[in-house]
Order: sequence, then structure tokens, then C-alpha cells
Amino acid sequence: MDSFLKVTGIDKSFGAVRALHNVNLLASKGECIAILGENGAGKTTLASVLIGLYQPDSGEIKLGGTPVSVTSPAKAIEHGIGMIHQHFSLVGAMTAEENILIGLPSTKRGAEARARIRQLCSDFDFNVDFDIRVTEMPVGMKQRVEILKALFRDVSILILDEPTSVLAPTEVAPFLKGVRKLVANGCLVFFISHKLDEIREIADRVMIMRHGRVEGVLPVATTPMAQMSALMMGDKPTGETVETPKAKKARNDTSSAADALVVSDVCLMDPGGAEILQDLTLSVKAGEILGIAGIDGNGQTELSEVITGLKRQTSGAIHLNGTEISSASIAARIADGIGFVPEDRHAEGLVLSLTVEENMAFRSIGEDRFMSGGLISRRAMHEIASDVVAAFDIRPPDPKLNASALSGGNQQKIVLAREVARARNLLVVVQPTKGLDVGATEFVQNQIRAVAHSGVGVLYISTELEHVLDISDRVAVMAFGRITGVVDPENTTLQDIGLLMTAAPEEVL
Amino acid sequence: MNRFTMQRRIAIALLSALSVGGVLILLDGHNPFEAYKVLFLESFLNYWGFSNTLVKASPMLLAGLAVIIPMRAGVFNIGGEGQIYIGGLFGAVFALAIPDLPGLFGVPLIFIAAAAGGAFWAAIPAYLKAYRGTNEVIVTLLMNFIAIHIVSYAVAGPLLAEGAPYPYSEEVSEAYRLPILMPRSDTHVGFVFGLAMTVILYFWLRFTPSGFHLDLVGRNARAAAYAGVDQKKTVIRAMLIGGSLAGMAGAIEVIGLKYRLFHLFSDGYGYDGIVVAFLAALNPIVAPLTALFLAGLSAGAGTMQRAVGVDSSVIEVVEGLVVVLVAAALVTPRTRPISILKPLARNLRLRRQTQRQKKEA
Repeated sequence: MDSFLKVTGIDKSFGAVRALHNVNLLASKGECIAILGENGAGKTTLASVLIGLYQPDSGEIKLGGTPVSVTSPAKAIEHGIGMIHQHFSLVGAMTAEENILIGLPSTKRGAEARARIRQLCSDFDFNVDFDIRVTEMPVGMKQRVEILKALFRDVSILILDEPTSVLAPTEVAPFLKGVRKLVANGCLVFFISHKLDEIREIADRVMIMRHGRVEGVLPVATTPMAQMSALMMGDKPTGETVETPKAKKARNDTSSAADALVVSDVCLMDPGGAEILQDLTLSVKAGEILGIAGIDGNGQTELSEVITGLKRQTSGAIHLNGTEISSASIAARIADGIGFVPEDRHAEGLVLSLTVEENMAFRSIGEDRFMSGGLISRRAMHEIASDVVAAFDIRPPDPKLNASALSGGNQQKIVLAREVARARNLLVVVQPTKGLDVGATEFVQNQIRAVAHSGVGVLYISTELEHVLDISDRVAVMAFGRITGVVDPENTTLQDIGLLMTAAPEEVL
Repeated sequence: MNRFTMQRRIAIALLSALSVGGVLILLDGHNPFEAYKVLFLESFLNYWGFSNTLVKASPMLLAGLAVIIPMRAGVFNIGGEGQIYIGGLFGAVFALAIPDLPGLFGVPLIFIAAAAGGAFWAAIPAYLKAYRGTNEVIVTLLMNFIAIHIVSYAVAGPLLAEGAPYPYSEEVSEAYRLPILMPRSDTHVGFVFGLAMTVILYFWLRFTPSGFHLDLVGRNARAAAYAGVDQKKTVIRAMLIGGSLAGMAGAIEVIGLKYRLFHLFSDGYGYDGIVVAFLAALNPIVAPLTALFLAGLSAGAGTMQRAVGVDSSVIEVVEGLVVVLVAAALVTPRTRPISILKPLARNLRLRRQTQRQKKEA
């Protein structure tokens, strides 16, 4: 079989960290190769080398038999290589069309181009609002714009970095269908993912990476999932055991517990007058995990912000342990022991130019454990961070590194570690497992379970339905800024939840 | 970009600026090594030259801190010059209105008055920035001209000394004059005061929650909000501190050097402060060094001209290159170059303008 893409001996180091180690790969047009690996295994680095964001220290890339030097993403596009990143590269102040056509000569931006964009949209069943700017879009829609941007440029190699992690469950199937259509048309698709079932569904072959090396490139159809997982995890001990339903029952016997959080009739209007939250009511008992399921952009983020004080509700009340905090400042709510893992860890949860240890402390800096004699104790900060880095297996294990030097999964661990330690009464987590691999997801879930076990109420907001069902004691489904139903995760079907997620409130109530 | 690479980049920028200056000296027909040697020997190793360097470095250091603190909160204070003028005015008015206090009380009170003046001048753009979203660069910049003219009016009118041939005020009483640091020279204790402020601010940023929070706002405003920091108050606090520092630089010029309030008394020190701040990569503890460097350049330029024959305007070119190259060195993929370069280029222009105005006067 003629190989369209041939990658030989790619090495890439960042300082002392060897991100890629002698990576070899042969791939043909019209196939889909999944790249599987833990956080920090080198998947994104390899992709970045292919699209010219990074230059390899050594090694060669051949396209159709000729060596190419991909020195920039623009060059990559010339060679027909495109990538959709985990963190989007869109201009917030522009509309979808402007973003898709950005950088093209004006002759290619006419009505014809616009028509083609809409055609692509309907080909792939993408719901994109062409009238609003990207900043106003929910995350899922932003990603669809990113994908359209690459499709519009006629790429022959498309790299998708965790593409489904932000999609609503109902959007995943049509999306995968679209990817298959691309493959059938002769496109070579790299599909970076943690989700074995998706890989199973979409990929022809799977390339498994660990610590910057390729552990194997195997046909998906004949390789058992267990083998993939074993190659990915290596010989290290697997994570703690998943909580058994019985243990969950024992933990979630919170019927007699007091309410940690009560949200009553909360409404939130955006400046344009649209109702983001409508008469939303819910309660979380101490020690209980209440899951919020829902399609991305139905008010979940805003709900978390209203509870933590980042947004002020238009009307309605919020009580923490029976005390009204409806108009308390963010700082007051922090002092009240509300931990918050926000959705956008880069823009909000972390300060990338600060060190890991400063990031572990910045939201808790006035607390006694970080102070000594009225001043910030840099030593305490370092010691606490060192412990957390060890406990959470944050890599590289150096609390004095800048947070920007860490991979996405490790950055997420910093945020989680900080907020778990802070949450005395309530922990609000939004998309805590976004972009995490199987092992890291399990680790995060166990940390959250431990917090609940210690008597803290947890509000777990995520679009990854299986994770919500797995961890929650009760699941509230959100749609159109309302809770459309509260279900018991043990005795409910996906179909029911799907209905609650998508049905208009009038039909459900 | 971590601190180390940043400092290395700044060092490279400095060396490049000096090298280009060296080429210009060479084109002018002189030996650049000789010229630089004279310049640095004269400004740092000669008693009188170093005294002159310290005199210039004192207001530059405070003006530099007056840029650093607001910038660490994400606010660009171009208004140091105006805050120096209003600070000098408040200090002088206090000193002239209550001339009979003992120096031990009088001098601190003059500093407090000057700090209040500078803070007041900075409070206006700070309020507009925090509560009205007005661009602080434009407001602080334009308020400089207002301040300069207010002082010109004051010393040409109500404060004009009897029989003065030039717009200046009466002398402040001897008890209020800053002690001299180097005997027989003009060098007062102003730089030592600046060093003390430097240390205080460095520790404040690093070891107090309020300082840490201020820094947080400048690094990532959304993360700061998420950490419960009140952004508006922080912006105002940072500007008030900056204004106070610049105001005290004004007091130092009045009661340390000239003993009167002069028309156009600041030689563009507020703008020099921007160079000091960026050269120090916004780290207060480095600011004394960068202030000395910049002051040495400008103090040694004249001597270099006399001794070697190189036109001192070469040093202006070097200063200009320092500004541009350091700004370039500070550009990271995450900062928009335009936001740093533009005001710096403007700063250079304004400095020239002030100097010209002064010469004409």
C-alpha cells in the first residue's frame, strides 16, 4: 500500500522534557487514525509538529513521497494539512463567516464562498448561527465553526484534537458521520481522543502513545479495548477502583442531611434581554453530588457563575447552609467555603504567567495556611503545593514552573486541587473532565467523591453525560435555562434524559 | 516567558542599542569604545559625575515605580510627568504656606502633601478608567499638559517670587531642604528615599495579599475576579500609589535640588520613568539599577561630547533605541506589541518636546 504520509524519526524536546521520542508513522489517504494516549503523552505535540506550530528537533515528514518542511500553519494549509485545536483559534469579535474566510484573498470571499459555507453546514448537520459574533456562541458552536474553517480550505489531512469533548451527546453521532464522509472522500483524518468507544466507531487504526513514544499502531477492528488501554497506561498500577453502586448508596444516604445549597426562583437576563436562567430552583444536600446534565449552552455556565457570585442574578435567592448569600460578593462566598472549578481554566481558573505554586494559592491567599505573621508565607505556599503536586501526580513535578509550561490535563489538576482544598461547604465544578484521559478522569471523579464524602455538597455540571451519571446521586437536567427534570441515575434511561435535554419546557411540564 | 529569559532579552536589547550607538559614533569619526568609556567613567566613577547621575536618578526611580505599580495592575500610567508637577506644586505650596515647622515634621508633611497632589492627579484618570472605561493612556497623557501649565501659571502668578527674572517661587525655608548625601555636591538623599520605597513596594507585591491581588489583576483580570478581587478598587488603588510616588518625585525636585518651584521644573522625568519601568521588566527591585543606568547615560552625555567630541545627540539616539528594543524584547506572543510600543514612541517625542520648550524658555 502506498503511504501518502510518512513520518520518520521525529524527536522534540522542550527543555529537559522529551515530548516526542523517535516517532514513526505511515498513513494513507482515506483512512482515519485515532491517536490515543494519556495527558502529556505527546499527542498534541505530534499534531503541532505536523501542522508546523513546532519544528521537530530531528526527523522527516514526507507527503506523497516528497519530503516537506512544514514551517508554519500557513505552510501546512498549503500542503493540505489542517487541525482543529482543543483551544479554539477564532476571532471573538467576528462572525462565523468572517472567521472561516479570514486570511483568504477578497476574490474568494464573495457570495459564492458564503453559499459554500452554508452548504458545508448542512452537509455535516452543523447548527451554526451566522448572525452572532463568536464571543456570543456556546463552546460547541465555536468548535463547529473551527471545523468548517478547515473543511472550507479543502484539507487532505485533518487533525482533530479531542473534537467531541465539547459536543453535546446528540451532536456526536452526526459529527462522527461527517468525519466518516470526509474519510470516504479520501481525506486522511487523525482523531485525537480519550474515548475508546468513539475510536472504535470511527477509526481504522489506532496509534497509541505514551511518554512521547509510539507504543503501537494497531487495526481497531481486531484489537481488544483492553489491549489498547494496557498499551496506553503502561505497567503502572491502574487507578483506584470505581465506586460500586453499593458504596455509592452507602455514601449518598443523605436523606437526613441539611441543604448545603438552595437556589430558588433564580432568573438571569443578559444585557440584550434574553432570559439565560428562568425561575431556576434546585437544592444540594451536604454530602450529596447533584449532577447537572444538559447540552452545552443551556445556561449551565451562567448557573455556576450566579452561585459563585461572578454574575448577579436578576431575581431570585441563593442560600448556603440556610444563610442567604444572594448579594454577597465573590470574596465573601470564597470565604464561605465555596470551591469553584470554572469551565475555562486558561482564561479564568489559572494565571498562566504565575508559577504552579502561586496558582495553587491565588484564590485562597488570605487563608491562614498561606499566611505567617500577617504576610504571605512563600514557604508554606511551596510546601502545600509540593504536597499537592505529589498527591495529584502533576507533571512535571516542579511547583516553581510557570503554569503555562504544563499540559492541559495537568493544568486542570491544579485548578481542581486548589478548589477541592478550599471547598468547606460547597464545590461547584464545571466540565471537570473535559479533555482528560480515562485515568485522569477517574482520578478527578475520585477526588470529587472524596469531597462529597467529607460532607460537602457538590454541584457537578458537565456535558459528558456518562460521567454525570456515573458520579451523581441525583441528576438535574437543564434545558433553555430551566431544570426540566430531576432523575435518579440508577433508574433512568438515556432516552429519558435525552428527552429532558432537548424538549421544550412547555412539553415537559 | 519566564523571568530569566525576559532579563536576558532585555540585556540583549540594551547591548544592541549600545552597539548601534557605537556604529553612529564610528561614522562620526570617533572611537566608540573610547566614547563609551568616557561616558561611563564620567557618570559612575567620577565624584561629580556620579553626583550628577544620582541627582537625575532620584526622580527617575520614583517615576519608574509610579509606572510599575499601576502597570502591574494592568493600567498604563503615562501621567507621571503631570503627577510630578502637581506633587511639586502641592509640596511647594505647603512649604511656603507653613514655613516655620521644624524640619523633622515639615519634610514628611511636605512629602505627604506632594503625594496627595500626585494621587489626586492620578485619581481622575483612575476613576474614569475604573467606572467609565475610559482609556487611561490618553487621559493621563493629556493631563500632563494641564499640570505643566497649572504650575507655569502658579509660578508666574500667585507664587511668583518678588523681583524674579524667571517664573519661579520664593525659596523654601532652610529647615525643609533635604540633607546632602555627597558633601560639596547637589546630591541629596532623594535616591535613598527611592530605594526605601523600592524595597517596601517589592515586599508589598510579594508578601501581602493586597499586593498579590494587585498583581493578579494585571496578569489575568478574569482570574482575579474569580479570586474575588475587586477590579475597580484595585485599579484605583494602583493609580493612587503611582500618583503618590510621582508626586513625591516632584517634592524631591523642589526641596532637594532647586529649593523653589520652577516653571518647567521636571526634565521629562515622568516619561523617563516609563523607560525605567520597562527596562526593569516591571520588577520594582530592579528599578534602582535601570534608573541609575538611564540617569548615567544622560548625565555622561555632555561630558562625552566635551571630552571626545561626539555629539551628545548620539546618546539621545541610544536612549531612543533602548526604548524601542526593550519594548520589542518584552513583546511575547501574548502581549500585543502595539500596546507597549505606541506609548513608548510617544514618550520619546514628548521628552524632546519638553526639552525644547525648556530651552526656548
